[in-house]
Amino acid sequence: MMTDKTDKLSALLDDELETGGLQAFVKQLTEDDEQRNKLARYALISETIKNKPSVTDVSLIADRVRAELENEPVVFAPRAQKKARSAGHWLKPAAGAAIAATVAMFAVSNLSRFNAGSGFSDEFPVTVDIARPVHYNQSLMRPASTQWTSANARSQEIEKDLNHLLRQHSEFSSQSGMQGMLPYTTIVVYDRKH
Amino acid sequence: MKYFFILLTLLSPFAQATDDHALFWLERMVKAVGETNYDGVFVYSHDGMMETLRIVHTVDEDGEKERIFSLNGEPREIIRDNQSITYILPDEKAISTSKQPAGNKHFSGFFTLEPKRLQTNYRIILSGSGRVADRMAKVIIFQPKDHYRYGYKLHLDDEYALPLQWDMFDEDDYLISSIMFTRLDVGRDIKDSGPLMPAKTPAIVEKVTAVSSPVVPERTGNWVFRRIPDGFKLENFIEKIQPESKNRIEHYVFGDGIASFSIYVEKTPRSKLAGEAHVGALNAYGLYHSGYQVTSVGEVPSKTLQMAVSDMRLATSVPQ
Repeated sequence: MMTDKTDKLSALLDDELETGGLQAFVKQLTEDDEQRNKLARYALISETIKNKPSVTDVSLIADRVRAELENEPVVFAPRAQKKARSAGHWLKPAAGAAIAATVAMFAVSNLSRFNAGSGFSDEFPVTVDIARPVHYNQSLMRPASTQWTSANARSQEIEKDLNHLLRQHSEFSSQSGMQGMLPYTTIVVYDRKH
Repeated sequence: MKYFFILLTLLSPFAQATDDHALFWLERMVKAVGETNYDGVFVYSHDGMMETLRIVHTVDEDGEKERIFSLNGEPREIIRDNQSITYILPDEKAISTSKQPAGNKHFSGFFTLEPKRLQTNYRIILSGSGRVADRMAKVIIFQPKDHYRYGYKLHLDDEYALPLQWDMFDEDDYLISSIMFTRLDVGRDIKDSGPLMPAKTPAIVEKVTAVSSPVVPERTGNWVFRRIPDGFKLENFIEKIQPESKNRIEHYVFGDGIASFSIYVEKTPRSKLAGEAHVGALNAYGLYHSGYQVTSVGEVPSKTLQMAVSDMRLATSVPQ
């Protein structure tokens, strides 16, 4: 039985926590800022050891963590949790989503410390300023902001449909209003794939 | 939004300039964008990202022509003239061409507007001077009179009255998007030298013909929208067949003089977009209503799109 919190953090990252222990531990994490920050730090360490990511490319860090969670449903809203098959099932992806977001936030805020070789610090900010907090936290499964952001527009078919509608809108909206150029600019910009 | 404009008003020495003066400059702008040759590079900022594009606008004995060309990533170009709009999108290995919407006597790349009409929905304020692309400019504020549209700030070139910068703000004074010129050349020696992107043969050539007609009062589509926000009026209605699905789709365009949004109604057996979607300054909202997919798209707040489609009915005695 694991009694050490550090061991539990490690087990969580290694996907070795049993369902019953997972539920309780994740609940603890939501109430313990210090443990959450440690989790973010360990996740980054783990990532670095496994894949040697370029720490200068912050987006890759979170993307890689996120990619590992691609196959698991992400809970966007609390009410969605009620639809899960079991409590253990949704708690795990919820924790995973929190990991990805927390790792990214941590990486962005502390990148300079790593690069300067100052090592790890126990002082992690609870609130982190990142360039695009709203989009980053709300689009955990989306790689780039030039794609439509929506829980319902993630399929390629719907995106294609929206882009088609956008083009048609641009043709006719330019007839009146100040947005004459903006719709066309939008098409040139948003239609390109990364 | 009110806080931004209050602050701007307090800081600007010309804040209380009359709307007439601002309208005078806007009318100069409308004339300039349609009759002037210009070639410029501008930056489009949104979502913390920046894209660079180039625009070339010419007017000669062959008519008016404009090209917008991306300077980032894969080259992409849109060409407009009095008859057609051509999209050259190499990502999709396609060229698509549409006819210019009928009634487009003056498509003007940048801005086409009715200054008098704008006053219904915006308070227009001439608010001092600025400098953009190393050119002195007049600053005009468009303060929305409600929360169903965004606010704008426009910089107009002192010499030619061409727009140099165009900022869009939401109701919390958050800058949503910005178009800003970094270089602008003006004059008769600006010529249309042909496509700006490297010549390449697309693998697939697609020609799409859009059949459209200006709104005729007695023909406004099969649907009635009972909760269109004040200030927006139906400006265009188009009916067409979707090339892929072969479904009939009705396209309604609403505008308030600056902003616009479209509502698409398509008979389809299954739902597509449900709820909100966003990309940069654009919002979309979808719902499935009685066997029809309804999607609204535009440069307006999401609440505007939701409200517009929240109460829609089939017009009576219209064949389905």
